[in-house]
Formats: sequence, structure tokens, C-alpha cells
Amino acid sequence: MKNINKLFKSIAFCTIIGVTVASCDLEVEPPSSIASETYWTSEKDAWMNLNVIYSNTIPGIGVYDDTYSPDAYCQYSWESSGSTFLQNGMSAAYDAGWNFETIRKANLFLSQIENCPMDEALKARFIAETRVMRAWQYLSLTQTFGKVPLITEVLPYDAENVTRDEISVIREFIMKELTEGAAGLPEKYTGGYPNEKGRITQYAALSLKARAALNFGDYATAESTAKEIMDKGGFSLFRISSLSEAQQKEADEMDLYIDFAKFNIDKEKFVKGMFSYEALWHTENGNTDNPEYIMTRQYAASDWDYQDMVRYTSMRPNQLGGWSSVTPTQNLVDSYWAVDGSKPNLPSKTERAANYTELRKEADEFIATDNKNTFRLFVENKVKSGEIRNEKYISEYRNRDSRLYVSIMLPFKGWYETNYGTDFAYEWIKGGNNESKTGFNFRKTLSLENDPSGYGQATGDYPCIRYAEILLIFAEARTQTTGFDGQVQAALNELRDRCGMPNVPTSLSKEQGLELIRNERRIELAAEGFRLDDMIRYGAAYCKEQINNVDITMPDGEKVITMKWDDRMLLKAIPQSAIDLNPLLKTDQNPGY
Amino acid sequence: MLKQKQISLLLIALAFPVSVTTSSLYAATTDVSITQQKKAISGVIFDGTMNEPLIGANVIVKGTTNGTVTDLDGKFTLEANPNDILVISSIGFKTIEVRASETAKGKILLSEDSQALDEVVIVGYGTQKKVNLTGAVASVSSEELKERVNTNVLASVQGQVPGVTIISRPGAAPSINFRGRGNLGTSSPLFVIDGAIADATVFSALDPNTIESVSFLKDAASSAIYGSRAAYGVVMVKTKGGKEGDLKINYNGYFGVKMATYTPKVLSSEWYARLANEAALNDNPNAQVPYTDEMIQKFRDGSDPDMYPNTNWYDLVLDDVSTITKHSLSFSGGNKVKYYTGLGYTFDDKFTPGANSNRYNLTTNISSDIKSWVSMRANINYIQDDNKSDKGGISYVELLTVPSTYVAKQSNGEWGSYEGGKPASTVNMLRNPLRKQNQGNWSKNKTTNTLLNLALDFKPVKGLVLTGEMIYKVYDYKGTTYDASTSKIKDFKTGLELNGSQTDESKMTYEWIEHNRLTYNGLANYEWSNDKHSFNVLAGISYEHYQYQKQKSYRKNFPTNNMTDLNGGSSAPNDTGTEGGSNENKMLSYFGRINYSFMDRYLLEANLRTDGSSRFHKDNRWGIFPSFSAGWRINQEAFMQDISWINNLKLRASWGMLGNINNVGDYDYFSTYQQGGNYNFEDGIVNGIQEAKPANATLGWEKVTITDVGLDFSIFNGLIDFTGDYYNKVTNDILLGYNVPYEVGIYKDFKPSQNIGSVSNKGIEFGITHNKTIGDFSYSVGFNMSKNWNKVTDLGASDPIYEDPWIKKVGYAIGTFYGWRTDGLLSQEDIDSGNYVTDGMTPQAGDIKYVDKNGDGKLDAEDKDFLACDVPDITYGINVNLRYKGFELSAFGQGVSGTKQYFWQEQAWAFSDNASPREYHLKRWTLDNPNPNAAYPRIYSRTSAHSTYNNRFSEYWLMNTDYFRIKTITLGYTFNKKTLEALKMDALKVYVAAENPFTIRADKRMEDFDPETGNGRGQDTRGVSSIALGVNLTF
Repeated sequence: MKNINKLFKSIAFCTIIGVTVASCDLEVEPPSSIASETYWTSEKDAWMNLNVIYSNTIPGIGVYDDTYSPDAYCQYSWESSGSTFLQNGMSAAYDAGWNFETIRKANLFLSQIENCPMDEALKARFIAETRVMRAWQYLSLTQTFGKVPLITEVLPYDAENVTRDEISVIREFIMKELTEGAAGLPEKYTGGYPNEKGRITQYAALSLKARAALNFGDYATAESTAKEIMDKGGFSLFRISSLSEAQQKEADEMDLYIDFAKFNIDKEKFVKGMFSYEALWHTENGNTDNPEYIMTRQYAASDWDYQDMVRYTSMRPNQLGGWSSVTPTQNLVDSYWAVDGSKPNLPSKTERAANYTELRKEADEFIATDNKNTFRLFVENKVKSGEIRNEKYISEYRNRDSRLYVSIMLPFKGWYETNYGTDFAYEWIKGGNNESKTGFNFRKTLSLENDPSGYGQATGDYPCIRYAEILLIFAEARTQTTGFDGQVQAALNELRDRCGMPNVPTSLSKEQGLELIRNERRIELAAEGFRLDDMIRYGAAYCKEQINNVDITMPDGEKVITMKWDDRMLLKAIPQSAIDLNPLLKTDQNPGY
Repeated sequence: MLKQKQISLLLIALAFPVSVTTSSLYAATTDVSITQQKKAISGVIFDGTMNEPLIGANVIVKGTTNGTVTDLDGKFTLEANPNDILVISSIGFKTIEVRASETAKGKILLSEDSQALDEVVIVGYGTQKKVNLTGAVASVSSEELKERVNTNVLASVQGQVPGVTIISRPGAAPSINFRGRGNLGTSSPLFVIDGAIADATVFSALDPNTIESVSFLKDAASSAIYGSRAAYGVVMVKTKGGKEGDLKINYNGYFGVKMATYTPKVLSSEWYARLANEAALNDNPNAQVPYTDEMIQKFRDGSDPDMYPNTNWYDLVLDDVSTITKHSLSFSGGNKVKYYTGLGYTFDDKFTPGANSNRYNLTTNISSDIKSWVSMRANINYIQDDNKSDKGGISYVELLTVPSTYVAKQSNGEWGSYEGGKPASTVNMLRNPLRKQNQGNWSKNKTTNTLLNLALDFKPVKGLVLTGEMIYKVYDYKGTTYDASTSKIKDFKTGLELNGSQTDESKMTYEWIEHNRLTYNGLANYEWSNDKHSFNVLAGISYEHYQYQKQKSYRKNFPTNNMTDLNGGSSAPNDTGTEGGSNENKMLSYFGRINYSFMDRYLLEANLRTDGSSRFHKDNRWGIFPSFSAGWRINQEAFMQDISWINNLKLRASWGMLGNINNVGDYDYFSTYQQGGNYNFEDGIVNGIQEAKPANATLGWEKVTITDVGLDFSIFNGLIDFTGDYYNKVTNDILLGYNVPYEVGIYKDFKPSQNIGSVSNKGIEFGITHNKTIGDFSYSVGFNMSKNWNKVTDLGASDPIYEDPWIKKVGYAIGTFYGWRTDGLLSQEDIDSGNYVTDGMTPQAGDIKYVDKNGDGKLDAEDKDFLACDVPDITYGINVNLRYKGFELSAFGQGVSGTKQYFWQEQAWAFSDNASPREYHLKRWTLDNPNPNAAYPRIYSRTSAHSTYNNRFSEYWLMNTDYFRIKTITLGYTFNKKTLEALKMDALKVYVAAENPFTIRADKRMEDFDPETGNGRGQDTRGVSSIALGVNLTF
């Protein structure tokens, strides 16, 4: 009896366990992602997917691209390989941006949206936006590598390896996409979902088309496209109407730097010009309503999304809470016009070194005499007494292009607009940690406030295409097609007028005109990432002249680097890591690598 | 679903008829007692090792309940027939049988049980006698763990078990690997603690005093019962249970001090300045040097510490010595209800002031025979770790990167604002380690691991045990970190506040992670034997459900720095943030095992497990994992009976197939879109949804096949014990991220996994021990070693996989470095004659001389070579134990060979991130001493192009990390019985133990890193050596 009870209970026990376990299922569902089959079923799905393409495509500040040119120097090898490049040290070990992730995202969008139920007009516009952004990616790829594979569909992960397409094919594709894309886009957006301001407009697409055409040497298209934007786009150069207190303080001191009477310059126009040019990038003006902004990289305060750390921290010197990652070179400083638009008279390197050292020594001695004495106090005394006007080192910074003063922090020059207050003067702290290696720091594009805790509170939008570039494209392209005529001069004078500089000369040959435009472009677009592409466009001979055996030198005469040029540098190497994965690229490496 | 139900019903249906029919075989067995003439039998029992009377030993007449215990002098008397067999036993000693008539002939010696042949080891879902094992199982007992002065059980096991490679990197959790790296991802073993699937973290944190034994199941046959997760071995832990008898209380505790094994030898600021000058001139002979002779003099004589300090952050910020304390208390005993409760407390002070950890351990095991045929077992393991840092953490990397030329604190009490006579950089003012420690940062976290196991054992018929088990393991982590806001530093000279030296926003982050695993097991175990045959059959089903969830949130801008709750911070949208995360997986398994032995000589075992996992698509969900093993106990053969010096001789062989799932994500077969790539429109963030990792519905198990042949022998009563194995482990269908070309555009971390790779591990491992007793003196020496040959044998279309600086390539070991070979440093002649290769930059004398492997005059990918491996191929351990009377001295050493590690940035390069140079940089190449084999190349500043040239990955930066180190030395004294009697105690031992007292290292270049350090840019912490005083008592 007992045994039966035992047996019965045991059987019941086993059955319970057995049934419990065996009835457990093995099904799970991903908790935070969406099944592919259920995606692409609404307009919102398409919109959210397109947001990713925006986030991956629209560029912010391009100053790191300038570190591959003689205009800017990056002291940290982990931030840029620019100084290696400038010494002809690049190889396939470096990846210059052989990346097709954004292309894939665009291709995926274009292949899926076809079947997405939504408003057809909106669908057509979304497609146009995506095609333009894809073309934009290809433009940057072909500028870097020349030939690249043209991929317009979503490749499976185990697809056959692809080869590179000819440059002409890529260029034709870019021009076609930009032309057709522009045709499908509105001139402007009304705002609000799904017509947010800051989306690619018809004019943004046309601007890219003009940029690409100029780059490809299709001057007629570049000229006509730029003209179309100038005539119909309604854009204008940004100008401020009045000076702030801090600006006024600096403006008052400009008498020490500019002999306004001697050069017959309107002081008010000049200083307004300075600050109009500078304020273009300030947070309060960084928005889609700025009349000069054709395309804008937008930012919002947020911890966990991509932020514009470069203009808020990387470019600032240590004395303004930054890292001096990218600093302007003497070579760039030297390129700024004299205040009358002519070439400036510059001291020799040895003269400059002696001048700088003398003034620096005076400052050091002043500081050493009393604990209360600071560099700032030294500068303030010099300014108050007016002595600064007579300092030998300062003389080369006197009577120069208005944009120089607001593009570059010059040693011993005051700057009062930042969150560091109205008693700041730029000091070149040589050898200081996170201080400039070249003697200068950028002031152009910098935000006035920094982000010391690194929490990413950058909110100022950045103009990745601005109207000034269109004027320069027009001027250059038309000079190429027609010569340095009145229309070219008018476009350039618009730029000059905004910054308070005199008009360009009226009679120049095509060659002289192009030379002037190249330098005007270098100044106007400094720190925006155009310089290397421009130099390569001007040709190997131009690059060689600007780079080969040219030194980057500090104000005290010490050499930063001696640059080297080799024609292989016209294109970057396909990275070894890409060749490793696609052996077909191995036999098609760019020349010289 | 139908399929798995059918299998389970089938198994249940099979188990029952077998149990019912076999039960009848036992019905007829009855006890037969024979009465004979009894008389008083007496004798004396001695501890054979200590040569002391053994008190309290049990003496029982075999087959009866008639018994007694020995008295103070080890004497006993009882009534018995002279022909009776007396069974004499005592805990910790081998049980012996003596004929009653022979007890008066002299002292009966009991020998210690450590080498006992009837030692039982735990195996999957049960235990087995060691002699009957057919697989490769090694075990470590509590004795080898409990007097170790460290806070990590895994570190204590290091080097003890042949074939198990444990690497204790300073500051990191030790990693464990069985018999080489089996695949290309995670190949960590499975941890099973009292039946619960756990992980290395829980295992490491156990109180060693509560561990009864740890088994390492190394071959396929032993671990196959765990099927799909046992591919890389199983570590099984059994905690102590209650023993029948009166309450025993045991206390084991120690107090110790810890020191660093190695501290980076940072040079003084004088040398910082001198080397910085040298670096500047090396870069450009016309450079103005940054430091004048006058400044260097000030650094040297310390005459102006507010401008020219000599700051050593290690001295300033870290304690040289810190303490460690441990107390373990246990209560055990029982009769019908057996109980064991162990309480542990460990206090571990860190080298960083204000930081320490407190660990609380609780183990409770209760078992009760409810009825003769039902018993209940309940097991609780609870571990709580409280870590806190009152003064905020410090970054070990920053102790190097904030230079010695920067003032920590000015003489007026302000934080440093000068650096080598110049205004200090904002970065250093913010990184100032001393300031960071005192600015109000703090962090605290609490981790709990709870393992609950509740089981019912039914014994409906003799030999059959049915077990129902519910196991629940839960991990819970709660951590809060506070980063304080700070005010501006006042300039030492001018008294002006320095912009950028402050942290404007305070921030508190709260993180909570919980994961749990619920397991149901149903087991049927049936044993049957007669004098020739012995069977053991196990059948079981198991279901597991794992769930993970996480939540993290923060607030910023706390009005004061002394708040401790998140609610104190600002609730403005830009000041708050939150993030979540959850996932789950499930597994259903059926398994069975048969053991058969014939005449105790021929042993056979077969296992079969089938697992279904939610991590695979329905169509590929099930995997079947069989194994077979056999053993031949040669010494049991009739022809061996005359050879008395052989105590044990056994040949073992096994083959089996296992699975691995660890490298498969929970949802890899779902094709999905996911959050990512947000953009901003009109000053607001807009949601971005993008393509996730491409799905692969055909994913399946990684399969590991292990063949193992082993030999065990024991001769001359333990004079030599040997166990050795040869294994061949082949992993197939390894999950690999497919090599997707860049042009496809798939994000590199989204490479779809494929079952494509194969890896082979072949190896030998052995352990040998030697014991001898000479009068009062006895000793034992043990040595174990393993050598593994690892090779990738197939990578499908993804051969090779470059993972700079590593490579995975068919024919080469996993962990192989791939880069440029170097031939010392360039000489001036090399430069002059153009005897160098470069890919652009022109080097100069003293730069690294790269080898142009293909001789084409260029330095490029074609010149790269297979350099070395970061996984040791030989690991070994040596154990020495000496005893004289109550004294015991034991030492244990461990070493590895065949490994190099790659060091970069602060760990290797002078001035990297402005780091202070170290003593090893003094061995550099210089113009005065242009040694082409110098330990460090020509010195440059961090921004020099020559730094870029030299500091890329090459053979030059691989450091030899072979070592042998004494892991522990313990000197103990065990009090003798008489003293104990006076103290009314059962046992008392005092000991002194030292950890990591000596190290022999192969590296003669850097010399200031712990050789157990791994690849990296800086040391996260320091290796620890310690010395402690302890006591272990039982009453």
C-alpha cells in the first residue's frame, strides 16, 4: 500500500515536471527593434530612415580637411594625418575615407521607398533629397580617390567583388543626379514635419552641382548654375546692423592696426565688415534663416547625439579652454591682402623672428617684475599708450585685410566677445600643453562659448554651403569662360563690400584674374575645408610651388615642418584594409602607392 | 514545438517502465545476522602523518550499528567477535578495515585522505568516484583555496590545474580558458555552482571556505551532459553541506597588508625637462629647447616648487600599503536535517584613498529526509559586493599623462596653476589627480548574486532517484556615480580666476542592471549493480529562461555637491537623460547518460544531450551532442594483483561532440530596423531608424569535437601519482563575422555571422605529485604543465581576417600579431647609405629599422609578417608542501611561456599625451651612445613626425611577458590534540601567507610593469602582492 502511494506520488511528480518543462516554448521577439517586414509601411517610416541619411551625409566644419593643405596644421597625429600627408608620408596604411556606408543607406532608401504607401508627391521629394545626398557622397569620394566603384543598389553582404569605375562615369552620374534631384526639390521649406527647414533645397542641390562642375572643369555649367542661384535664389551675404559692446571695444582699438585715413577706408564700414564676416558663424546667427546659409548642418543641445565639438573645443587654444588641435599657419596669414587689396609687404623670416622675440622678451620681463603683472596687462598698457602701433612685430599685421583680424588670433591682439570676457588677448604660449604649434589659432568659425565639460551643448548650426562660395564659383568659372569682366568683378565686390574692403581692380587679364580669385577664395573660405581640393584643381604645378620644400615656420623662426610634394598626392591611396577585403582593388591602386 | 514535446514524453515514458521492473529485483533482499561469541576488543588509533593519537575516530563493527569513538589517547574498547571486521574512520582520513583480532598488535595508523582513491568528484548532475572516471576531470579542494590571500577564487585556482589557463591581469577579472582558445570569439567555460548556471564573476566572488570542491571537466565526455554550452569545458562547484553530528563551528580569518608588485618608475621633472630638450633637438637640431639650464636646475634642487615642481603622482595619490581582512564563520551539523551555514566577510581596501570594497557571503545548505523515500535539499548562495569610492576615482592613465612638471598644489593652498614655469594647461588643471580626488566626486555600487536551488529527491524503488529541481540565479547591480562641479582655480601669481579650470555642470548617473536565469530540471537516476556489473543511468530534461534588463539615467546641475539622490539635480530636459536595454533567451534540453562498469575494471560511459535554443531560427534550433568514453583499470586485472607497488593504473579514452552558442546574439535571425543616426531639424532632435545587422536565419551551433586519451597511475602508496592527457580539440562551424568588403557599405560591427571557421587545439597536459614521510617529516611536491598547439584551420571565404595588430589566418594561432619585423634601430651608416625602408617619411639614425621582407624597397602591407602570439602556449605550476610535526610550509608557483604583449601610448612611448617618461626611456638610443639594439629608439616629442614613424605597430613594441612567479607561500602551525583539549577546541591552526612574493620575468627591457599585464596603453591598476596572518579554528 505504502509502495503504491510512493509510486503514485513519484509518477505525479515526474509528470508535473515533465509537462511543465515540455510545454515551455522557445519563441522570443526582439524588444527594441522593428521587424523588416513591418517597416516601410508608412510615411513616418520613410521619414525616420531619411533622417539617418541626413545625419550621415550633411557635413559640419571642414577645418580638418584644411590640415592636408599648407593653410592649417594639426599637431596631433591621432586627429589628422595632415602633417604626414604634407611630408609625402601617406600610404595605403591610412584610410582617407574609403567608406560606402552612406551610399548603402541611400541605396536602401531608394529601393524600399518605391513600395512604401505614402503621399506620392512627398515620396518624389524624399527620393530627390536622397539622390542629391548620395551624389554628394560620390563627389567627396571621387575628389579623394579619383576612380571609385559606382554602386546604386543594395549589395548583399556576400556580393561579388566590385571594381572601380572610370572618373568620367562617376562625374557624369554626379551631374545627372544633382540636375534631376534639383528639379524635384522645392526652393524652400515651410517648416514643421515633414517640411522641416534645413532639408536639401533646390538651391542646395544646384550649389552642389556648381561646386562639382567647377571641380570637374566644366566651367560653363558651373557658371550658369551659379548664376541661376544668384539670380533666383534670393540669397545675400550676411551683415550685422550694429556692433555689440565687446565688438565696439575691439573696433575702437582698430585705429592702432589700420591707418584708415591714409588708405581712405571708411572705418565704420570696415569694422562692421569684420564683425559681419565673423558673426556669420556665431551661435545666434547659425540657423536656416540666415540669408547666406544655402545648406546647414543643424545642431541641437543633446548629450547622446553627434555634436560639433570642433568649433566649441578642438580649435580653441588652451587659454580659451580648448586643445589647439588645428591651427592656422604663417603661410595662410601671409596670404591675406593688404588693406588696399594689394599684396602685403612681409618681413623676412629672420626679421620676423627677431621682431617677435624682442616683443616677447619685453612682455616676459614685464611679467617677471611683479606678481600682478600679466600678459594681458602688458598688452593693455601697449594699447592704451598706443605703443602697439609702433611695435616692429605688429607692423606686419597692420593695414591688412579685414578678414585677417577675425579669422585668426594674432599674438598680442585682443578679442573681447568670448565667454572668457573682455580682458582677453591672444598669447602664443610656445610649448604650452594644448597650445598652438604654429603661433596662431583660428578665430573664424569658432563658437564664442566653449563646452568645458564636454557634455555637447553645441546648438549653433553650421553653413556647409554658403552663398559666398557661389559668388566665388561664378567668378572663377566666368573668368575661365569669358575673362575677368564686369560680372566677375561685381560678384567679387559683393564679398569685398560685405567685409569692408575696397573693390577689386577693374582691368586684369584672365590669368591675373584667376590668380586674384584663387587668393580671394583662399581668404574668404579659409578654415572651411576647401583648400586642398582647390589646389589639386589648380594642378600639380601649383601644388608643387606651394608645398615642395616649403617650411611651415613659427613666428620666432622655428620650423614646424618642411613640406614635400609628390604628384601621387593628387589622389589618396585606396586603404590596404579595403584591398584586403576586395583583392580586385590591388591591381588598380592609385599611382605612386 | 510538437517535436520537442514528443521527445520529452518519450523520455518520461521510457524512464518509468524501467524503474518499475527493476524494483522487483530488490524485493527479496533481506538482512541475515549471525550471532557469535563476543569479547572486549581494544586498540589505539594514531594519526599516521602527525604520529599523534587520533581522538574521536569512529570504530564500528562492519555490518552492524555497534560502534564507539576513540578517547583522548586514541584508545577504544568495544564488544565484538574476534573475526569481525572493524571499520575505522575519521573525517579527513582514509577509512580502513581491520580484523578485530588484530587490533591489539600495535598502533593502528590512519593516513590522510588527500590522495584517497575513493575520492569523489562532482560531475554533471551527480558525483562519481575518481577512480571510475573515464573522462578528463581535475578537481581542486577547499584546502587549496581557503588560505589564499586574495579576493578572487579564480586567481587562487591559477596554475593548479593542468590544461586550464587562467590569466590574472592586474585590475581585470581573471580570464579562464580550457585547452587553448577554441574559437575566434568568447571561449570561456561554463560555470555551474550547486547546479545553477552561473558565470566567472559569481565563481570568483565565492567564499573559498564554503567550497567543498571544484571540478574542471575538460574533455567532451565529461562535459557533454551540458551539451551546447560545454564546448569550452565546465567548472563545477559544490559548496559544503552539513555532516551528521553535533554542531561544529569553524572560524577562518586573516588580516593582511597589500603592496604593489610593480609601480611604473616615473622619472623626475628634471629628467622630464632634459628628455624634452633632447626630444626637441632630435626633431629639429635648430630648435629652441623648451627648458633652460636654469629651469632644469630649479627642477633638480626644488628651490621654486610653485613654478618648477617635481611631482610624482603615484606617491601623492596612491597609498603604498593597504589592508585586506577576511572572516569566515560556519556552522554545521545535523541528523535528520543536515545543515551548513557559512558566513563570509571580506574587506578589501584599495590603493586609492577612500576606495574600498566589502563583500558579504552567505551559503546555506539544508538537506532533510522527509520520509525514507523523499528528501529535500535547499541551497542558498548569496554574495553581495559593496564598492565605494568616497573621494572619486582616479585614472591610472592620468597618473602617467599629467606630467611631473605640473604643480599638484601651490604653496598658497590653491590647486596647481603652473607647469614648468608656464601657466598650466586647462587639461592638466582638470586632470590633476590630487584635485580630482578631493573635489567631491564619489561613486558607489552594490552587486548581489543570489543562487537558489530547491530540489526534491524521490526514491520510489531501490536504486532509483527522481529529482525535481528549480534553480534561480539573479544578478543585480545598482551603481551611482557623481561628478562634482568645481570652481575656477585662482592663478598662483595673479590671483585671477582661471577660465576653463572649472567643471560647470555636476552630473549624477544611476545605473541598474538585473539579469536572472530560471532553470527547471527533471532528473531520473538509476543505479544497479551486482558483484560483476554496475550500471548507472541518468535521464533528464531541463528548461531555462534568461532575462536581462538595464536602465541608466542621469541628471545634471545639482545645486550643491553634497546631494546623494538623483532628484536633487535639474529636471530640465537638457539636464536629464535615460537609456534602457533588455533581452532574453530560452533553452530546452533533453539529456541522458549511461555508466557501466564490469568487474571494476572496464568502464564505459555514454552521454547524449539535445538542446533547442531561442537564439536560432525555428528550422535550425536543435543540436544533438553525443559522447562516449571508456576506461580500463589495469591494476584491477588478475595478472596485476601480485604487483603490490602499483596502487592504481588506469587508461582512459573519450570522444565527444559539444556545442557553443556564446557568440550568437539573442536575435541574430531577425531581420530588423533599429534606432540610430538621429539628426537635428529646427533645433530639435529627430528620430533616426536604420537597417540593423543583416539577419542570418541559417545560423547554427559551433561544434567542438574533443578526443582525449589519458593515463592515471599511482605507485608505492602515493609516492608518485600521475595523471596525464593528450587531447585533440577541433572546433568547426565557428561563427565569424563575414569579411564584407567596404564597398558593400555594411557597418563594420554589423558584419553578419556565419558558421564558417575551424580551429584546432592539440595538447598535452599532466600533473605529477610525489609524497613521502620520513619519521616526523613529510613532504609532497607537485608539478603540472600543459602545452597547447593552436591553429586556425579554416576561415571559409574570410581568410585572412585582419584585426590590426592581430590576424586570423589559416595555419596560424589565434592571437597572432601581424606587423612589420624590425631589426633594431637605424645607424647613421644606414641612413647615409639609404639602407632603410619607409612609406613616405624619411627616418633618421636611432629610428626603428623596419625589415623590407619582400625586398622591393618599399615599406607596405607586403612586408608584414606573423610576429608572435599573445596567448601562452605553455603554462605550468609547482606545488611544494613540507610538514614537520605541527608545522606546515607550502609554496605554490606558476608560470607561462610563449607569449608577448603589445604596449602602446603611455605604456610604451615617452611623452605620449605629454606623459612623464619612465626609467626605461633612459635606455634609449642617443647621439652619444648610438646603440642599434637600445631598449628605446631615439626620443621625440609626441607631435614629431618621427614619433608617427616609430610608434606604429611593429615587432619592436612587443614585450616578452613570460614569467614564473611564486603565487603563494604559507607557513602554518597546527596545534596538537593535547593543547586543543586544554583549549576545548577540535582544531586550531595559525598561519602566515604571502601572495606574489617573488617573480622571475623574461622582460629585461621595461621592467616596471607586472608581467601578467595585458596588451594596452596604460596600466589600469597595479599588480598586488600581500602578506597576511590568519587563524583557522573549529570547536
